[in-house]
Amino acid sequence: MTDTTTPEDRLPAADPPAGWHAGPGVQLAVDLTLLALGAGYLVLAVQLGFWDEDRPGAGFYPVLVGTLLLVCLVGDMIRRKATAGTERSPRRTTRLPWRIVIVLASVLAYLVLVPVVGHLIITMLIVTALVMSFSRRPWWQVVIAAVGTAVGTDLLFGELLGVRLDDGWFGIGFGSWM
Amino acid sequence: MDVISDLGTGFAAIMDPALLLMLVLGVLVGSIVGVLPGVGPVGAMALLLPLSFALDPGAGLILIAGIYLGAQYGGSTSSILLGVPGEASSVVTTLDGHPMARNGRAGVALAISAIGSFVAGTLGVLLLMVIAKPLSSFAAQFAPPEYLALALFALLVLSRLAGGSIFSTFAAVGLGLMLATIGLDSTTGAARFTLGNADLLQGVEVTAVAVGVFGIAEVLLLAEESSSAATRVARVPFRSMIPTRTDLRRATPAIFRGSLLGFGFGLIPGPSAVVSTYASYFLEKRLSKHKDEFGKGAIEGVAGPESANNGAAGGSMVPLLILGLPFNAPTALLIAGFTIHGVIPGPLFIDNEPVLFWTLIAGLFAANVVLLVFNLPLVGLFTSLLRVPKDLLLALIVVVAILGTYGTRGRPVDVFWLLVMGILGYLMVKIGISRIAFILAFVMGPLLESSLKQTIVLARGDAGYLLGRPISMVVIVITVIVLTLPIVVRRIAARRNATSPLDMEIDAT
Repeated sequence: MTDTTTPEDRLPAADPPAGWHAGPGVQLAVDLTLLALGAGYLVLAVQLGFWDEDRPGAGFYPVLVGTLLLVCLVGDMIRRKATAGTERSPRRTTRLPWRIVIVLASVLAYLVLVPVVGHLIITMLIVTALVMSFSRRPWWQVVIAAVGTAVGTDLLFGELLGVRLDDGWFGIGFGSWM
Repeated sequence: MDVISDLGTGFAAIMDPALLLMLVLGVLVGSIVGVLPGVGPVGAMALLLPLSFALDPGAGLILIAGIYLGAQYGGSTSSILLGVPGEASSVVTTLDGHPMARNGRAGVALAISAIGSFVAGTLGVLLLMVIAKPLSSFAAQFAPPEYLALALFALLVLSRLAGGSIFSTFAAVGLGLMLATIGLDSTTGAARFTLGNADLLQGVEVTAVAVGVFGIAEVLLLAEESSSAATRVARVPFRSMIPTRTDLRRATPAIFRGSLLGFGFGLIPGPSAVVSTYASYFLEKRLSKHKDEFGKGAIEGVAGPESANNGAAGGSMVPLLILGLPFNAPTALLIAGFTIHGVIPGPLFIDNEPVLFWTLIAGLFAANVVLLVFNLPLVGLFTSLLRVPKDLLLALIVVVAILGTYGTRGRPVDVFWLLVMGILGYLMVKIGISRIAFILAFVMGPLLESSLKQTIVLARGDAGYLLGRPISMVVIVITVIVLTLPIVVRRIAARRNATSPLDMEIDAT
């Protein structure tokens, strides 16, 4: 007998991802958000103009893309509805770990606060928050990690690689001292 | 002889101390990040890509390529020592690599993995070097219709290989294509989907997308794990890494088979490194005289797959450098690095930038040698990285991801996109939407759009225009075969109600 399966057919099915599980409510929210995004995109694409005399207009390709996205999203929702109950259940919690929120909040904090306090200060703050949320270290270790990361990244990116890092309203940074 | 002298030019170029430094730095940093479980080559490249932007194109590209190869090498270390794959293409290595470690043969497994990676990497570059010029001359005949056919081929075949349902994969493709249309339209000059925001006129920066979807999303996944303590890892003295003659006799054919198999898979769109490791493992199991050892520490089970994933890395360079098409996520990131340095890979790359091309080829050869040196005597250094506490590591990765993205253009909007893409990447993993399909579609979007529009203009209403051109017709036929063959074969097999001996072996595994 011949081997009739292709290598990709032989890939073992992936386990459901560990950790936080997107429950039906989250799944629906994501689906609806993506559908709304796709529909809004399609409306704007149509307004750009599908055809321009003898050639495709600026909206031609986006209309195709928006249609593809909407059809696939709806198709996937129908497929999941049809296979509901047959797919493997998640292994863990449906509660979003708060550490994920802290990681995302760190990125947001950098975006919002770097023009105000500058790179050095905001980096120290977010490293402190991240390290304290992931472990229980003595305060002096947290301080060393925060200062070391802030100064090290300022020197690497700002001084060595020439990236213009924001020194904030108070001008705290190696760029303004050197 | 031309090839030899061109390669000599490349080696002369990388003797420049600055380039050598970047080469060593790239493979070192790539190995370090690759060793850490969870980050993987794509995450490593995404996080470290911005480090190359401040350099000149030669040094920048060498650094990026070094990171790619280093991360690919490093992935096996945690698979073998911890049984935790550093990345998807090292999953198969855990099947026999970790049992070897438990049997006190971790050193041999690491050595064979390093040697296999070196042989595959070198063979891959050698093959790339040999076929680059003839293939470039052939690809120079490509016009928009051929590029359209190739882009469609890549995206359609990817839908077969990316895993998950076709609908969810194409939803990811649609999202990637959608994101790529934000900004000025290259043909009409119209501002699209900017909502009046001047920051969006230049479009969404690829670094923010890549670092967000892979880098930040990986950090979020790592953040879910409750333990922040460093892992206990056994020490691996250099003496324990010397393979016996039997080890070498069994591993050598597997290494060469894996290398060639991997190179072949690298030419196909999709997660070639991952697929090639499974293909290599099952091939070795089928050919081996020691089938009973598989899953318990068969050396072929480490040698074949580890060679295959590095062979695939070499193979995937062919469509990237010769056609300018990234067929998998790492090459999508490489093309982002190329673009930021103002280098356009494609059929004219060798003719337009001969020194850069051959410098890159020589750099790939040298990177493999440096990696072998790093991964044999210095393996103890890399294994000690597995002891770095996770809290410090994650904090550092988050800061580097933010700064790397911000540093690309110095615009806060990129950090905003990083955040959005991080959330999107995380949700994609949780909901089961392919991130690879998303990033490939995002990177290939502009090419797909321009070639589609130009083909429509050239076709002048002729519906059979694509099929009337020999090269595009061949690509379309191959696409149809690749998409339909597995379905047809499965139907035939189901009708015969046949189960092959190999399938039974796999079930047993």
